[in-house]
Amino acid sequence: MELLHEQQKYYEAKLAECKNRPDLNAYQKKLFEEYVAKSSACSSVEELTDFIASRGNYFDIAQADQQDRYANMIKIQQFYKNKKREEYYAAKLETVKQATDHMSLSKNLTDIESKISEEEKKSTQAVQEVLNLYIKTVEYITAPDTKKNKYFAEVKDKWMQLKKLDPEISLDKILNYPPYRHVSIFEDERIVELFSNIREVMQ
Amino acid sequence: MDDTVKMMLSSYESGIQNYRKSLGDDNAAVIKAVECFEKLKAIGESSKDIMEFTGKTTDLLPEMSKLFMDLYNEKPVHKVAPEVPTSEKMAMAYHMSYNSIQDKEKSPETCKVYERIFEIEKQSENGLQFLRLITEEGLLIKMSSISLMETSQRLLQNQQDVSLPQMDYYHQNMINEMREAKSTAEIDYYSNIRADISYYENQWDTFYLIVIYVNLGNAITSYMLSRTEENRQCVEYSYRFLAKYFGLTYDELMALPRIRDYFNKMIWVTIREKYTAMGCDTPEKYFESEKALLMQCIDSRAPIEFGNENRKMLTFFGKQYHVRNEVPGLYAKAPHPDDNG
Repeated sequence: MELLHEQQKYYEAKLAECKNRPDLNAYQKKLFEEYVAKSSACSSVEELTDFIASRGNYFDIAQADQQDRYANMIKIQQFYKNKKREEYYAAKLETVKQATDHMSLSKNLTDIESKISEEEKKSTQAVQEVLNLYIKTVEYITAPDTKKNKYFAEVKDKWMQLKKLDPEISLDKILNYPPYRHVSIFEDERIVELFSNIREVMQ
Repeated sequence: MDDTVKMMLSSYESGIQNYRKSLGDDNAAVIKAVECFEKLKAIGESSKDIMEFTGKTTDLLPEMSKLFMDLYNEKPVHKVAPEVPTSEKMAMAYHMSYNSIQDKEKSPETCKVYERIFEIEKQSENGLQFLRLITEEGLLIKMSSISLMETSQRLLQNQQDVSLPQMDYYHQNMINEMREAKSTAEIDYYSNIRADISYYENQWDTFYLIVIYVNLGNAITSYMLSRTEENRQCVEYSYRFLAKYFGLTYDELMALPRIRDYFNKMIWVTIREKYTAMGCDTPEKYFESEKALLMQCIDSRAPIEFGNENRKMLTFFGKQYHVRNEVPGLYAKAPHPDDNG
């Protein structure tokens, strides 16, 4: 098979991959449709090579792959209502969109990763700490009288740790921020009742 | 020379070759890139592995990247006919990846995918044909999806003896979804959803186990070992908490399927021998002895107040489920972004 036709068939195969879930392959599907059309219209492999070079030697394909990746991650975080992680992936998507070649794509992604990964890590740890606050509060409530003070101090420590990870933490946020709610087995009434035992800590 | 180093150097070499053709051997950026490459090659030949190589080239590797950037920015002086790579060159990375698979006998289906890729490599006239054929057969996708399926199948098998029902659902769903995936985006999407669901479910399950059972169970064990007033109070307060917040009696608690699974797999196996020697040879007999101790701890104290029926409901992703029979089955009911169509 001649090289031009070989390339065309390759783009068709890539386009076929996108068709099972076009919604998840939106950027790549659009791009491979363009590549299929262009390769069909080219009269020589040199003409196609010039086209590929004009598009940054497949930089656009690498870019579309990353755009789909982060656009899909945003959809997932929107569905689970995790605002922090949604913002994190939105920043990555924007970075990918602004890249102009292979080098800047790779460098800018690494830069944004180191810039915001710490914040993302904190928001994930905060969810874990909310769970720990629940458990510590139950331990405090069920502790023997002689150990109440010790357990109360531990609850206080947990709260301070949580505050470092999420400075906006409050009972209201525990009740209303979906990632914090996803880990709780209680409805509002029992959450409020449970934390009424540590009201002075949470103020 | 180490395979990874060899591949890295080969990719630099062919990159430089292309620029030599388009920019000419006398181009200043080409000369610098060749010099830098020769230094890297010499170090590569004397390094036993990639770790040693990267350790010795902390200055040269960034320098090489910078020089490639310079080459990229140069204006070509010759029109160069595109060079068609060989199928061997295109398949090099797959051979390395195949060689790095540990325990190949545990990943037979993944190995079959690689073997098919290598068959195509031999049959292909050039790298473009090779790439087209492995793409048409979906082998690049299968390389990831089948590998993830086999990992989940293995982990599912290995965790039969531990009490992690939420992870059983995770692996079963991963197996089903990887079987359906036809693109990298789908593999990525399904894996990330499963990771998110299991992240929340693992914490929800921990909350459930500790608050409903472990807290009281530990208190009774401590009292069993040392019958102090402190330990008695801990049992009493833990039981009052269970009654008030979940409306459950001890018998109802130990009949909960999730709690029984946890007890049988995580606790009974560790204490069975000791308690059997004491004549307590079944979980039921053990529960009787625990219950007797519990009754001692609350005997002649203020009556236990049980929460009403509403307290027997659990919240899971915003929906209500009855505490009696819904855990762990509710782990299969976690909302999924595709539920909305």
